[in-house]
Amino acid sequence: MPAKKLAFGLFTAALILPLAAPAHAQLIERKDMSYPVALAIAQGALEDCKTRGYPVSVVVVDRAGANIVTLRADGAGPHTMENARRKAYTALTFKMTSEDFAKAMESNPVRRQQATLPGVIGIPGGVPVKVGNDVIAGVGLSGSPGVDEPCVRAGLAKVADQLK
Amino acid sequence: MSASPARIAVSAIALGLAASLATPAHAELLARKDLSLDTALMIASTAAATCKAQGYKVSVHIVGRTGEVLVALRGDNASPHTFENSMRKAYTARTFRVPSGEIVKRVKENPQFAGVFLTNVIATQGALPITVGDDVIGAVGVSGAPGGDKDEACAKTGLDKVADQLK
Repeated sequence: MPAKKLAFGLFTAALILPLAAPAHAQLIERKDMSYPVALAIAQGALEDCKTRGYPVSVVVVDRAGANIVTLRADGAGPHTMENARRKAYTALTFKMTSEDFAKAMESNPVRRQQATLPGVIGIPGGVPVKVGNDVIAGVGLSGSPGVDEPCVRAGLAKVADQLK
Repeated sequence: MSASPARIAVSAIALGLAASLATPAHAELLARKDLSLDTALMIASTAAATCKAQGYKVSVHIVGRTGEVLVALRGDNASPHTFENSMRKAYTARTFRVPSGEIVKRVKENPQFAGVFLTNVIATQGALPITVGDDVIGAVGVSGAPGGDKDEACAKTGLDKVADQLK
């Protein structure tokens, strides 16, 4: 086999191999939110707001933005459930609190456009859930006069040990 | 102004009509019981735990009197459709005031039964109405077990758990 042909063959093989079945292909190994942890967060957040005298709704969404747990407190307003879900989804997908998202909307036209996507909302009360730097879930809460996020953080504090 | 008897009579009738429309003496607010979050969550988490103990990965929904979602739980590794499915089963049981499995029979008996074309209605077993006496105050729906009968059995354990509160 002439050296030229061999070189071409090798070159072609090198091109095709990694595309076909790369030897280094691996599945993604990562942590995801579980039902028990999501329920603990939601209940902790709801209880904290209840103690403050506010009936709220809470939603925990997973990595894909799907609801894992949703709770509606006795007496919470009808809109609070959808609002909580949208805050949770916003925090999850943009990897920032929905309050930070709301602030960014003031100066960043792109954020204002993103707020028109289905399920997104620029209202404080949504918090991303992280394991290290990996955002694995979002928590949203609605129904209090301005302490939605502190209530969420009280819920997250209950499971701080498990978020690693 | 001199009031003739006829005029007085007309006035009296008009007054009587107006008064009965405005604030009838017998007007009363509805006195009724509704699901609390504590009760709803107990039903849902019990149903989820029962199915999980049997190896079934399920989602559970509790809807209230107006069909609103009170509690929604997605079990670890439950299939994606189970979440919506459990909600629709619960909504169906609530609005038709029967186990959602009954709607399966209705469709069999009458394929023209149009109720199933309404949003969120589904003819699938796995949900039970939550009642106080004859009053349907909500419903519990389960999806993910291998068979609607098994979903319904899990839902039933949730209701049994709070039976003493449902009165």
